[in-house]
Amino acid sequence: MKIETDNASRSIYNKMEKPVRYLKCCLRDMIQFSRLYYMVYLIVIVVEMATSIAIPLVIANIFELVSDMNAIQTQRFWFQIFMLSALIGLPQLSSVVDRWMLTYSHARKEQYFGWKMFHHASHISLEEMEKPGVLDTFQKAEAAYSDYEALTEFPLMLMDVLNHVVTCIGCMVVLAKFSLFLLPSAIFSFIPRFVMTLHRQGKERDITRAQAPLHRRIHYLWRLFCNKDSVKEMRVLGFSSYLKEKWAEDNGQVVEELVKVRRKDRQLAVIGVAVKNIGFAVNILISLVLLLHGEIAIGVFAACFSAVSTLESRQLSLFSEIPTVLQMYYRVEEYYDFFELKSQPDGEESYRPFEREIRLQGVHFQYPGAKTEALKGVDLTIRKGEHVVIVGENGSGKTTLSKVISGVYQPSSGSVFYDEQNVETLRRKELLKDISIVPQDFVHYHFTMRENICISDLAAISDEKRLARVIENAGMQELIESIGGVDVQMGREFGGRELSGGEWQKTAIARGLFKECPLMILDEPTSALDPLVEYEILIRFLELTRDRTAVIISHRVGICRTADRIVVMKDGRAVETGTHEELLAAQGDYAKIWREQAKWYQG
Amino acid sequence: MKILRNCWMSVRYAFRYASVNAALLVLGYNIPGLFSGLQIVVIQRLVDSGILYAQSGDGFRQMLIYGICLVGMMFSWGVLQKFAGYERTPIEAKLTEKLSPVVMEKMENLEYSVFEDQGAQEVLQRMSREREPVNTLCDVFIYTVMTVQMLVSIGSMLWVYMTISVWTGLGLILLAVPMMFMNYASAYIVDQVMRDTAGQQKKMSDLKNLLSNKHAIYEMKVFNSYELMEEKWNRYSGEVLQETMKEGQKATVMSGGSQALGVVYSVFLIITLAWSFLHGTVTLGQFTAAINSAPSLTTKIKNSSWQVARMMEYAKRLDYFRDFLALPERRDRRNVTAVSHQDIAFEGVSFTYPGTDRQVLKHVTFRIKEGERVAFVGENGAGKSTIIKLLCGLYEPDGGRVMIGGVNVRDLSDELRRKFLTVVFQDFGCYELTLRENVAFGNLQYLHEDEIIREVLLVAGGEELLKEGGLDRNLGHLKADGVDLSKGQWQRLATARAFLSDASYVILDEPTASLDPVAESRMYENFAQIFHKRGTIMISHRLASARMADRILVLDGGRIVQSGSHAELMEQEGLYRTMYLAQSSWYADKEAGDED
Repeated sequence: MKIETDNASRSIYNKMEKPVRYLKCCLRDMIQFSRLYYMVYLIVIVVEMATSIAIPLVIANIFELVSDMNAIQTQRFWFQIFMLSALIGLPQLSSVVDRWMLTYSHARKEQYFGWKMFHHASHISLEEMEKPGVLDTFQKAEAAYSDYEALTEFPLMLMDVLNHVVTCIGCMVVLAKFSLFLLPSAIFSFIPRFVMTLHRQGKERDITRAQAPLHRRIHYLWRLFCNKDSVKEMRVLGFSSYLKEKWAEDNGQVVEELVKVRRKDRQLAVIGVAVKNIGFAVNILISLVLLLHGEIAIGVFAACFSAVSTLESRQLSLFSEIPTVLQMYYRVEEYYDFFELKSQPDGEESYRPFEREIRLQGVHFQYPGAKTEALKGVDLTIRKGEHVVIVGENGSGKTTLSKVISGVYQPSSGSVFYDEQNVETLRRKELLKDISIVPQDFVHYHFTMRENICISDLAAISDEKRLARVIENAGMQELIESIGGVDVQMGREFGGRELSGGEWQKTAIARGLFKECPLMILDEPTSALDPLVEYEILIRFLELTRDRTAVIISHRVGICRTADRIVVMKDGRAVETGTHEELLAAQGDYAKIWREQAKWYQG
Repeated sequence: MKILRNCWMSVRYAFRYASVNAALLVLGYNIPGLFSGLQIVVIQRLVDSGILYAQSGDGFRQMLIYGICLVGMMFSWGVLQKFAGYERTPIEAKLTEKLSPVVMEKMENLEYSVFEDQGAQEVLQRMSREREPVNTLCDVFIYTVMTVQMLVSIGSMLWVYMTISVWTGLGLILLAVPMMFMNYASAYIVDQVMRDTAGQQKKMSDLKNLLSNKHAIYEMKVFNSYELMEEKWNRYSGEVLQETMKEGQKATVMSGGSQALGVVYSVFLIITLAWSFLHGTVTLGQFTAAINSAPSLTTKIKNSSWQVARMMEYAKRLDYFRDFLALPERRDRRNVTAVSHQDIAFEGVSFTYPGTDRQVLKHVTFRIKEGERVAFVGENGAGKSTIIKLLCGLYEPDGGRVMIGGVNVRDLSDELRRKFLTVVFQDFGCYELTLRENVAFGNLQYLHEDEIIREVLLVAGGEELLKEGGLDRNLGHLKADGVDLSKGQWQRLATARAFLSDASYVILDEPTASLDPVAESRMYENFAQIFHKRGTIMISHRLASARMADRILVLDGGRIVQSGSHAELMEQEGLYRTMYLAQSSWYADKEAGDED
């Protein structure tokens, strides 16, 4: 029994732990974002609260004076009138503060909240990036601060809610001061509404969650119609009406459910409003009765009326704000969820350039969420200065292996050694200074051509000599001439040049070469090139890296003949190692792959 | 003016697709708008009759009637507004249900070259966002209605004030004009800043894309290039901040001025009322009613400026939808439904992609006879893929004609053209639907023929796809149970689509680019087997595949420079021989020139 309650309290604790932590983060960010503004806003809100509560009192005073007017009191009358006009006028100026903040937070959100995301993103471990939900997390967090402006709006909304609550209580106190009879309906009339709002909010959230996958699909189908390539295929193959049907089906389902829920919402909301309004009317009637019985003066009656109106309008604002506040909070959650993504663990020891070899010992690797291991125990030694080619079928673990070698992936068991240094214990940044890559999915940066190449070694960005040499080696002189120099912007949508797939590939090769370092990793470096260029570039590449260690992954087994060693990967294991001749003679997997490819070129 | 037109457009769409709901919403919002003025009158009468009753005992009935009126009005106010507010859901639902298919139809029927156009791309980008354009239309509609409500309610209050004291009304009218002007100016400044910083915003969203891209993160880690991104980010976001704050100050001053006028008005209003009351031109009832409603009037005036600015902001968002509606639709005629033969002919075809100045094809002429197997080879950018796109009738050539069976392809009906051609594009679609659907898109009449779908998948080398689960499992990340495929597996799926089709010509653009050597080799064998009776047009970097073709067409710089069988071309000195030797040298015997 005791354990059960323990569990229950723990689960409540767990449930609350995240919101509390996130709210703390949110407050900290709010203060860092702009302390001055939030202070000013708080002052504005306090002024607003004070004025709304004071107005009924001043009105009571005015009517007190009016009911028994004489010469001496005219002066007091005018004083009260002046007070009233000040009280009504002052809060209006608050919207200037609003306006200013709106502009400010709009302008600065990217610099503050965007930068925070930026900073974290660069530290996320690559394994984490492989998880299926990561892109979704990123997009939600991004939308939270930039589209919904939740991070800047949420603190303000909290203050607004505070404002409304305090004003409501203030009005109630004023009413109670006039007559205790007015209190019950002021308090109870809004309770049904309050309960219903919270209840319906929960329902709304449930249905939004339940419908999320359907929504994603509806939106996916919709996007297909906006996309150049899918429209092309639809038109040529003729399956657009099928997609439209699917869309209508899914959409129909979503709409039907939503309309049902909202209809219920409306019924309940109307009841809630009705109850609240009845309470409002009852209070006015009570004060009227009190007035008629001479319990309160005409001035107090007017003040009651004013206080009840304020209460009513504040309650209205409060209730319309609660769902928005909750929704904003969910956005805030989505933003901070992003920061829960794990960053890469790093070692402490400093790295000495390796002298002899890179050694993999029983390396296993499993992608997060995957059922099977991508690497199932790889032992491999790469000697300094060697050119090693890794071949194998799609999905045999070649790319994974290369990422484990460079230390960006952490093996789930087993270790990678650079000489005697275990990668796990090394400062990854220092190790990576010695490694350059030409990845399979290289990035098209919409920067200048120079930045596209020199991004691999930014310290040397103005080294014209090195740049010119790399451009020549990657066979890009003609390309650079035709686009008009290295400082030309890339990407048509940024007013720059567009490159073809092959041209981008050359750029990626140049990028890899620009970083002068002892270890090169090339993953399918020539898959988008045509044969003539492929041949030229590969040959030149091998020459240029003759004194460096190179790990080359390729579908083209042709390159293997120039390699010092070939590693054949199959199903997460290194099944064969050796030179071209040795492996051909062994009549194993390599020989089979070689024959399959070579037969098309022989005879 | 454009803003008003956009508002009007939203009203038109709402009434066209959901007339009853739209009418309910308009009424539900605007009847309470009239109440604001009416309420003052009722309170005034109530107080006056109350005083009468207190003094003389008369007029109790009157007092009761006005009391009930007041309560009734307040009661129905909230209820009506709530009631109307929920009409948004059905309006949105109906708009989605009826307008979205119309929009999809239009997208699908856009002239294909529109997709190349920079401006149109931005419009489509906008359209591709979730729940666009319906959501925006609804927002604009509701903001329009709410703004009208605001104006109606201010107007009705103003009218009542005019009857109490002409000065209060005149004062408002006098101040309203400069207030509106200042608000408009401030909204305009903000809008202008947004437009001025659009360039930086675009670059920032590009950087954000890099950050959510795992490949970019990989490069960032290895190259330690994070600094550059950070520097760029700080530069752009700093520029946005600076620019916005500079202009934002002006906007704040403007709206501040407008608010100050509002304060002046509320002071003026209350003092006028007090003065009139002291001089007996206003009754106690009128004074009570007016003083009580004064805070609500000034709040409304304050909010109205915000409301109008908000409406303008939303209405501006509809501009892109207007632009979308103006995009040109397909211009191909598609009226020929039968032809006598099936030969393909390019007659002096030249082509330049819209918006570029490089001619991709220069006077290309060739013929492909029914059932012939043809391969196009050439360097990157030689124009191979462009030929395929023209053959599908996606673009109108600058010069010359593309014909099938002696008829211009752009005159063929879609159905007839599909009977002739099926294509596996280089950038084939990976649809996040079921495995079955992905294959059946090649020919939907086989959607439920499990046997046939399994068979083509096997032929395309997808046995592992079949092993891992049924045809109805979801691919991609859309559904929780969806599995993602590797690029190579997707390629097999796309190829299976072509196997499913009965078209006379199968066109394959780089069909093995993502396959490993063994799979590639097997795929070529399958091609030879399956397509031996049908016409094939193949584009490949791997020249080995060209050897299967009856005829090879070599493209260089947008022209056809060589044509003939593999054997014939190998005998000629030319591009093909050079390319072939380069590629086969990897596999040639040891003595054929090795470096080592």
